[in-house]
Amino acid sequence: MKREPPTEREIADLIASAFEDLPAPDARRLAAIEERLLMRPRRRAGFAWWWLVGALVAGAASALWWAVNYDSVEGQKEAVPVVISPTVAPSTSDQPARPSRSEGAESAPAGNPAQKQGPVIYQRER
Amino acid sequence: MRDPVELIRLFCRDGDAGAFREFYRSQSPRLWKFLVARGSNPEDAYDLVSEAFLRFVKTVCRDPRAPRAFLYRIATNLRIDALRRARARPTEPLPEEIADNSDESVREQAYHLRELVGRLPEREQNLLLLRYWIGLSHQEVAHALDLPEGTVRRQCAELIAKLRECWGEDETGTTD
Repeated sequence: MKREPPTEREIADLIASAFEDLPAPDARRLAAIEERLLMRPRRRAGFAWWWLVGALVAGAASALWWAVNYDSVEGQKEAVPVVISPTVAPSTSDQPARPSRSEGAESAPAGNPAQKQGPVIYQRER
Repeated sequence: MRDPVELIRLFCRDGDAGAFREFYRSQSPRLWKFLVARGSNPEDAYDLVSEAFLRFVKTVCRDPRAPRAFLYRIATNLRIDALRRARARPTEPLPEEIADNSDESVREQAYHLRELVGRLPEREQNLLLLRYWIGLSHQEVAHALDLPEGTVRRQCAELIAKLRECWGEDETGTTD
C-alpha cells in the first residue's frame, strides 16, 4: 500500500523528532569533559596570580633590605682606601725597575727594533 | 534556560564559568547526537565533542555573536578531518536502539526519513540537520557551513521538496 507523503511542513518537523529520538549520550562522560574544560582557565588564572604575589614579595623584601642597610653600605664606601696603581705611583727606590727578560719578551711587540735593543742607559760610552 | 548568545557573552566579558557550564550542558548532548547521526562512532563522538569544545572555548571570545553556529562549524570540520584520517573505515550506521516514546507509525516515519536523509550528500545532510533538528537560523547555518545565506534558504526549500518527492519511491523498508 502506497503511503501518502507528508507535507513539507511535516517533513521539517519530522526531521527534528526523528533525530531527537537517537540514544542519549552517557552523562558521566560529558560531565568528565566539562570538568576538563573548566579546569584549564582556572589553573591558568591561579598561575598568573602566584607570579604577581611572588613579584610583590620580592620587591618588598628588596626595599626593606635597602632601607635597613643603606647607611652601612654608604659607610663602607667612604672607608675604602684609595688604591694607587703601581704603574702610576712613584717608585720608592731611585733605581729604575729593570724589566725581566720574560716580561720584556711578553710585552714587547714583535718586529720593533728599538724595543729589541733595550734602554739607552745600558749602552757604554765610547 | 538562558539564551546561548547571552551565556557566551557573560563568559567572555566576566569569565563567568557558570554561564559556560550552562552553555555546555545545553549543547553537548545534542552535539554528541548530531555527530552520531552524521555517522561518527559513539566513542569517537565523545572525543570530537571534547576537542570541539576545547577549540571553542579558546576562540569563541574573538566573535561571540553566533556561538552555536561556531561550535557546529568546529565540530563538522573536526569530523571531516577524522573521516579523512580514517578513510578506510566505513561510516557508522545509525544505532538501531531508538527511544520508544512514540507510536508505531511515527517511529516508522522517523526510520524512513533517517534513511532518506542518509542517502543525501554530506553537505546537504549537515544543512538539513542543522536547520531543522538543531534549530539554527538560516544565517547561523550559513556561518556554520561557510555558505551564503541565500544559498542556505534556497537549498533548504529544495531539499525538503526533494525528500517529499523521494518519500513514496522506496516503500520496501516500511509496513502499513
